[in-house]
Amino acid sequence: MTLIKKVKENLIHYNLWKSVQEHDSKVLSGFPPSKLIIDDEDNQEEWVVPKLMTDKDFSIEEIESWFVQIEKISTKRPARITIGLVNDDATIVYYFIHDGIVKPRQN
Amino acid sequence: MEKVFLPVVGDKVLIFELEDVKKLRHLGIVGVLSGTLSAAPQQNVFLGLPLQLSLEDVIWLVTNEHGILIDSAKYHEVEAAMLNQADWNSSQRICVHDPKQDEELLKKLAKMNLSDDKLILKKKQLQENKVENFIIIPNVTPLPNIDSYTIPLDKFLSLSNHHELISNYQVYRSVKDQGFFILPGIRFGGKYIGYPNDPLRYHAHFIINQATDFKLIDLVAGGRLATGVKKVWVIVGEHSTPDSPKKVEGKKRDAVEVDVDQTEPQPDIVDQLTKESKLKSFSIEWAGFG
Repeated sequence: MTLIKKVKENLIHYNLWKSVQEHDSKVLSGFPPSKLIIDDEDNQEEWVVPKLMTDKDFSIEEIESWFVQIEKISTKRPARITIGLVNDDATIVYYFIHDGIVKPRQN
Repeated sequence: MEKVFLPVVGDKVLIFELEDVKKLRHLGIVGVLSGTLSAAPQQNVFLGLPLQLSLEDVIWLVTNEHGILIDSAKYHEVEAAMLNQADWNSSQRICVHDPKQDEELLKKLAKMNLSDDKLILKKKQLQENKVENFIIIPNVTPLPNIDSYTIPLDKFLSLSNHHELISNYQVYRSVKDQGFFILPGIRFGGKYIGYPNDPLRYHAHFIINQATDFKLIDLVAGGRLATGVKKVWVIVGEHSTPDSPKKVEGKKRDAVEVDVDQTEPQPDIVDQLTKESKLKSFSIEWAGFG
């Protein structure tokens, strides 16, 4: 199974996200069952970028390119994206990457 | 505001004047208290003056014209040479050696039942360590002939070893110029820690790292630790377009003697430090699901 499919299946069946969609075989969008952060809007669309833990090619340029790519897809630069990190032991972990320097969340 | 005197002692900037500590605080420079009590140097829970500034603090202060580097030893020579009899007579500024203290120490020694050899040795040590009359000289009074005891920034930077100073300073500056207070970050496993304002009033919000050469496992480890202590893990780095020239890192220098006159300045380091840089920053935290 491809990297993006692994994360997509995990979001749908394990984390119970709805309307998960692939974009350009690189980025996923979808709606989590409940708000991820208290201050989020109701039914906020989330953007997830899959990435292999073993991938050594990782830089600030790449993060910036994800924001640019998602801006092209959704016409708006998102305030944050989520990175879905796939390990070779079938673990998938998710981390937020916020644009700029933001305060830590309160919840 | 008058420039704050930044006395260079050895290869460090140490602030001994409380008024200067206050002025720096208003500029968002906190520093690290480093002084112990001379009677109990192992007591290091509550440290006091002097305040030690980081290289980045010093560079920011000097390049923004808030501070001026002075050679502490030379400054004191200049001031001592200017003293007149009235100063010598002013009891506030002069500590006079008290012979009574010597007598008491000798009495104590006599009671210790030491062998003759040891007694002679102890007396010799006492003589050698005797504190002669000395004067307390404030660190802040501007003296005439200021050029004779100031140090240019490049000379100061050539006094110590530093690693990736230019890129680190650009990270520091980009965070500081957004209004945050910055302290050394090793306590939370980062390069810097960032506060939304004075650290006496706020908890740290950010663990800040330079975004060169980091791996995904660093993102996971840093992000997870930061979230666990209610912080975010911030990476700051240059976002270079493919055709932009690779930036030149400052030459690493070997440790050099403290004597300022014998070190040659690094001609372009100040230019490199002050040149404009467009940095990108991203804040990472655990998403809380998955």
